[in-house]
Amino acid sequence: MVEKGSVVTSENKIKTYRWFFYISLLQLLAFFIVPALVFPIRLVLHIEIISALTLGLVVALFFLLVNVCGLYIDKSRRSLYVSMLIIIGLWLLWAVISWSYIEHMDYLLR
Amino acid sequence: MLKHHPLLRAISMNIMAWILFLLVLLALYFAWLREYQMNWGATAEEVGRYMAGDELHENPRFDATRAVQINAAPEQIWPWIVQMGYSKGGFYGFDKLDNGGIPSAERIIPEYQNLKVGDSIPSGEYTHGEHKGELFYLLEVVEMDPHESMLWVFLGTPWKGATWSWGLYRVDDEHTILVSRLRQSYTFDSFQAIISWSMIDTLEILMMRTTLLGIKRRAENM
Repeated sequence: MVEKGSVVTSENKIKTYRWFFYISLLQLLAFFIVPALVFPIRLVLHIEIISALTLGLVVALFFLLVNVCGLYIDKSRRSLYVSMLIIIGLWLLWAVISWSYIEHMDYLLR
Repeated sequence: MLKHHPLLRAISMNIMAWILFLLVLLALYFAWLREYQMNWGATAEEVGRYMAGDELHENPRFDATRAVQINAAPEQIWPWIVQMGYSKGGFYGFDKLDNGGIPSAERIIPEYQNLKVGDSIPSGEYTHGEHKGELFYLLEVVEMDPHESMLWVFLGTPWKGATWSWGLYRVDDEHTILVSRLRQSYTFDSFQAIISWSMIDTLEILMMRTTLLGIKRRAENM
């Protein structure tokens, strides 16, 4: 009985974590969808890029931690979390390079 | 039991995780990052040195002194600062956001070199309403010592009354330290003020650093 109970607990933990993952992913997507609805079309792409390099980074960092948790809690979907970590890692790298050499980043400045 | 549903537990987990995450970020910001970004590039001497307009905000809540060394003489840097402004030379920042999409100048523009005390600096353009298409002015030149220093004061909210001081300190014939100091004594007297000043406090550095590096690149490429 004890073993059966622990399996149920573990399944609940994974189910809860997966919902947590989807909610966090939705928050990340919402961060890009909302500006697209609010700002004028001529500015949207620029605002999205600047958002991705500023406040979006905070949301991305949160999502990165969510995925790190996933590696330990939901081992059956490790490849998904690893893929997400790689994407966010590249995103962070892009941000660091962009802000380090901002004066040469014409696509951001013009 | 509804409260044991995985979705509801996940929602409460998400809220708790966000609170914890933001508290950690805030702690890191106030413990280390804020002081670093407020004095980006500046030495202790430059931070402590008097600049024009300091007396207008003796105990500012926002006190940012940023500096960059430029491989040029003050006379080569000054014209780039003087011609700053919306639809003039731009702000050497994010042109789509602060210059109506017009690229900031890549050359010194003679007709914008006659800035003087009392002049207002165009800061944007009304995009709707009865003044649509007209320029608005958020900065006024209050003091000027050509090739050495200049003081701008903000005219509009949320920066109203804030000072933006420029200083050019010659190191030798080919090197100058360009210093920018922003000061404001804002108060958290409304929810709007809390939100806008939280954003400004954390993000303004990105604009200012871009502007300073933009001036450096242009002055060095002359």
